[in-house]
Amino acid sequence: MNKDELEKIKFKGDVKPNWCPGCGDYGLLSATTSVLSDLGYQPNETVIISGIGCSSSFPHWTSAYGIHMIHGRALPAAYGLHMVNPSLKIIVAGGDGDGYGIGVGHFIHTARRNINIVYMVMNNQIYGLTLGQSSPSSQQGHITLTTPSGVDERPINPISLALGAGATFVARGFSGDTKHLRYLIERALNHKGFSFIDVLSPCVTFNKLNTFQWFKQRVYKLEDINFDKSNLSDAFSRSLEWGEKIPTGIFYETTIPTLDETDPVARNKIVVKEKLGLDNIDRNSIFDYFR
Amino acid sequence: MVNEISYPLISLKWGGAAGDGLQSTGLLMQKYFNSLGYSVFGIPGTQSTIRGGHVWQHLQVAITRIDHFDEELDVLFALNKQTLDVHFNNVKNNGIIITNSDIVNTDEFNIKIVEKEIHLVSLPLTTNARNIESRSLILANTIAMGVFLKLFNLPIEQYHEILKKRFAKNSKILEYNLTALQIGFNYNTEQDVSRRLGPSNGKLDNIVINGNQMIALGAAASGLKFLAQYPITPASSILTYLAMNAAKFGIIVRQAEDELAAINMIIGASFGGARAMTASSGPGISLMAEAFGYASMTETPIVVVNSMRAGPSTGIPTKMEQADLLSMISLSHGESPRAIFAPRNIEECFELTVKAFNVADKYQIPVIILSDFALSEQTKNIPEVDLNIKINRGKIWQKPSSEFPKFKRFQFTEDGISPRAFPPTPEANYILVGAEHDEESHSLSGNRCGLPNSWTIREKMIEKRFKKVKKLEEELDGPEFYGSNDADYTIICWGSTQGAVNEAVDRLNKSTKYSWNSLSFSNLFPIPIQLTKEKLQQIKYSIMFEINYTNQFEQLLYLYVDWKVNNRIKHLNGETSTPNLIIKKIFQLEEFKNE
Repeated sequence: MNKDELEKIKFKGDVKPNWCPGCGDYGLLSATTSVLSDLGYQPNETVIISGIGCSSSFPHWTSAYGIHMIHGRALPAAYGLHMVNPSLKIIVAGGDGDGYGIGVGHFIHTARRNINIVYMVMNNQIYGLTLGQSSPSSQQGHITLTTPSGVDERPINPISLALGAGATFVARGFSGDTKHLRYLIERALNHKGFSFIDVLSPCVTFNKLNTFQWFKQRVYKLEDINFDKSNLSDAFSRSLEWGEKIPTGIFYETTIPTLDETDPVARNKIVVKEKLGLDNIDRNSIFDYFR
Repeated sequence: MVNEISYPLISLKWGGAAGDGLQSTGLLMQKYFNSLGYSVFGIPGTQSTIRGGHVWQHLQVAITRIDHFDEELDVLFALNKQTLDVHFNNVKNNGIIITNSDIVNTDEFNIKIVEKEIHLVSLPLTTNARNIESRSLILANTIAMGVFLKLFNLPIEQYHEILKKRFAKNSKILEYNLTALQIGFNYNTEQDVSRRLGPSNGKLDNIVINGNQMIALGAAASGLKFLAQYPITPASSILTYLAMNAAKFGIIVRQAEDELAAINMIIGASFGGARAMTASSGPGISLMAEAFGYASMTETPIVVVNSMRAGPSTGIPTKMEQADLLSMISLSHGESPRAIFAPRNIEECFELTVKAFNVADKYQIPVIILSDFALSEQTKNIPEVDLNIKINRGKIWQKPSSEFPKFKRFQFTEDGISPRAFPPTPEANYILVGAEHDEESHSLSGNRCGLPNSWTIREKMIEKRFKKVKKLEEELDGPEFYGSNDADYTIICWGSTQGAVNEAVDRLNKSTKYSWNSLSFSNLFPIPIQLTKEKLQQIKYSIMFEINYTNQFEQLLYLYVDWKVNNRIKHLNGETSTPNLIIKKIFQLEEFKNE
């Protein structure tokens, strides 16, 4: 391989994915690694963080730094890492169980904090790694291992949730359309703030309802219609659309200060590069408070 | 005046409703006595009540160093009737009660007041406070303080200085307080005895600090760069002190959405190379269990402060207990190495926090600092601490070396400790993973699970993780005797009860025909087995004192050192232990019934 070819695959890991053949997650993985290369990021300056679930093996299939956290806690780990070193590019990748179930609280709080990271959820509307139970995004009526008479709870709406929580970049992609996914990932990486992409990523083994074919018949791109992604109300209305037609693309994008720009310490320095301890601080300014 | 009484120590309690300003007055008083060179020791009696209810501030002032408090009171400030109801019996004969005649009727105590020859100063604190400023009833405290200064012939000018510093930013409030103080000071207390606190010989520039603040200061001096915490009693003041000083100390201080987030945030920060800490109490610590195991499994250094309160569940949030010990040793599923340090006093809150950070980095393990309500919320005056401390960050990999030519995060080594690298260090990219992993941190839970090669790695990895704590044992401190090593009786304790136990030892040595000592532990886990054995062997008869029902530390000694105590006492009502209580419990034991 020549230098250019090597450069193109520099984010590809040495370990081969163990996802099922045909899994939707492959689409997001290849789109992500190629966009990272295209945009000139370096694997040692990039950290990919995940939780638990099929999709959360994502970091292992790349050459970047990574943290494979416990279930549902990828976002807090990303937050801690980002705050101590905002110069790293952080991507959080996980599934719907991880992000919309056990970790949904962190999803809301990370969104409202507007930390400058990308969060991608491979949403297959099923628990795959535990062999086929319903997920918070499972469609009503879906018969799964834990819902023999069909899912009777309404599914979570990740787009509305992200908008309501104050995410500053909200998008949906479809892993059957990697070209569009690449576009969304590129826009998310370039966005300053919390960028969220809900990725429709069919499970070919356990979800026989929401298949590639099922989505292909329904998805359309907001970029193809006259849609103003700077309007929050329009974004909310569009986020409610699900059924015969499913919108993909960027629902909303806005720019406000990020947390590393407002935190009294992070806005001035990258703390991991600072000297340790209190040697440089006037002792009296510390101890007078206690007298 | 005929008589003069000189006090080597004044034990006083300030009681009223929450919101009456007792805690802030208590702190001002401590700073006042500190500035005069006396030794002060304070402990709040709080409820989970923001306004109303019954709260108090207990304070002891002494001419020599103190590390305990007594139930018996020289002075009781009763801002409400309930204070008299609850604490009257603790007032010593010839003691003083200062009370608010506007709202406290003392009639039912009159006979006892006479019997105990208590000097009662009853004055209309509310009316006087209202006369100064109609809304500031908190001024009642300052008026009472003025009365107290007069009763003990204490210098009022020094208290002016304390008030000036406290209200430097609000001249009006300062003026009100100065007026209030003078009103109290001028009040005719009709006392027939001249009372004086003995002469002080302490330093005039000590600091008045609580356990949590010392832990926070120890962390900052150790190079803490990231604190994530969720508010909880009694750990909150670590968060608030560091938040107040975040910019000055260069520490990112963030309030997390819950304790699950807090501990996972510090794991992320530690992965990035920052020294990171969280603090909580029982309920929050329980939530952290899973991530704590992750930190141990992934050999990620973190420091977790558990300021114990009475459990289980919500328990008694504002009272102390030492009942989390065993759950801290087994916090999280599976077997995950960690270290646990329990400071015995305010000074050790600093020292052991420094040690916690160095041990965490050097051995790449999570470390727990086990404080409790009584220590975290206790205030004492001590000399300034030396902030210039030794920092050891352990094995950090920056580039290929002869020892580690190629970076492997979990490389097998002699001592079990592998190199760490932080992003963006080149050629060290790896994925941290909570699944069992090989030397290069590749997961063994996927396609490699159950294969013979994975069996070998699994066993070696368990061995590696535990090898580290075996090595750690070498630098742990063993227990310490107080009193002569060959005493007839030894009281064993750990953590914050040391001060009261040692004072009990002194009193027992004076009042009984036997000799007594204490043996106290701070480096709890892993237990430094050899050092512990050496000390235990010298004991003739042991009495364990710990604040839990199931003899948790006793169990540890039995399990790890194969050693049994002779007897035990415990105190489970939630209040901070006092020397006399310990002595009373000892003499309730069958062995001492006839003493």
